[in-house]
Amino acid sequence: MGARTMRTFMQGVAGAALLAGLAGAAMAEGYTIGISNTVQGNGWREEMVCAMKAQALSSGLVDSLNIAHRNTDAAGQLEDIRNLIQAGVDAIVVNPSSADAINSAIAEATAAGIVVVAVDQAVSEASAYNISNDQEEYAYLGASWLFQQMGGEGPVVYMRGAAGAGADNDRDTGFQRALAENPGIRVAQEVFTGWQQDQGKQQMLDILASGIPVAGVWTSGIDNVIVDAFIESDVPLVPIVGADNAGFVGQLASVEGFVGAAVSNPGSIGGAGMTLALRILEGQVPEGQTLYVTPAPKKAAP
Amino acid sequence: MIAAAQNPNLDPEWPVSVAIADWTTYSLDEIIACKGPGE
Repeated sequence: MGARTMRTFMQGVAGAALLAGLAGAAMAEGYTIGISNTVQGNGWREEMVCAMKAQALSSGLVDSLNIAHRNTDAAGQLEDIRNLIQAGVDAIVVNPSSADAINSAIAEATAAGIVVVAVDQAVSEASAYNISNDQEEYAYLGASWLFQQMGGEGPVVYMRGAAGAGADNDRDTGFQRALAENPGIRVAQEVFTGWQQDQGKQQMLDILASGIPVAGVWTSGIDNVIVDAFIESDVPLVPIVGADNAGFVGQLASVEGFVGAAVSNPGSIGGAGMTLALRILEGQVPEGQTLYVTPAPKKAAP
Repeated sequence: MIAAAQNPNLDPEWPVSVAIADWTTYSLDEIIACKGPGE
């Protein structure tokens, strides 16, 4: 009997003493939670997975985790989720590779009674729950700050995340909104970093080597290596927006003459997703399918 | 604000926002340890 079945049974049992005894038995048989992540080699994703693991441990409600953590695409994630269904997990916490391309597997999971929570970026499958940073606002906050620093005009390098990812789509909406409010800003280069440090750094090195004018850089979280690329290329730094990654925040405090802003995008959303899944399993179902944690105010160097 | 946000104990690629109020209950050491149940 899974923990979910045991707890459902408990709701129909009368008598405080008997309930207390069964509660002890239920606690001895905790939940099995599946995790699906499709980006490795990225610190943000590593923190997200560690937050899921730490929160599962801290909750005292989870016996084991079944973790699918590899570099793959939507097709691979469909396979991973179906494997988790076959394994009989009670819930799946997933960072989706696509807003809609994994919906079929999610629907199969929820039809089997498995709670599915998407973290970081939303899925459109109606039976899933989403909990994420407000990605559109994340991009809008940083881009608005950047364009102001640029005096409302000049060429910006737009360094996006992964093509097709829901968070990238939402961030693009926010970036484009800020861009529309600053008609003097033009996008000199637009690239997809794939949220990979090495790839993003090489792209910036290539852009700087090409000699095109750059007055500002917006990044989707591949940030500290962009500062490194300017320094290694011996090109004067321009205002750069990144996430609140430890290395980038450290650069904001320590690199002389560098002006930038870090916008909060917590990898700890993985822990929040684990909590949401466990709350639902415990009968605390939220009113809506989508919950946001609001981006913290930007942190700009003086 | 920047000085307060720094955390030299974290990997440079890790966000400094390691916890979310009302949603996470682990400690900084626990998330850095990266251990789940049974590990």
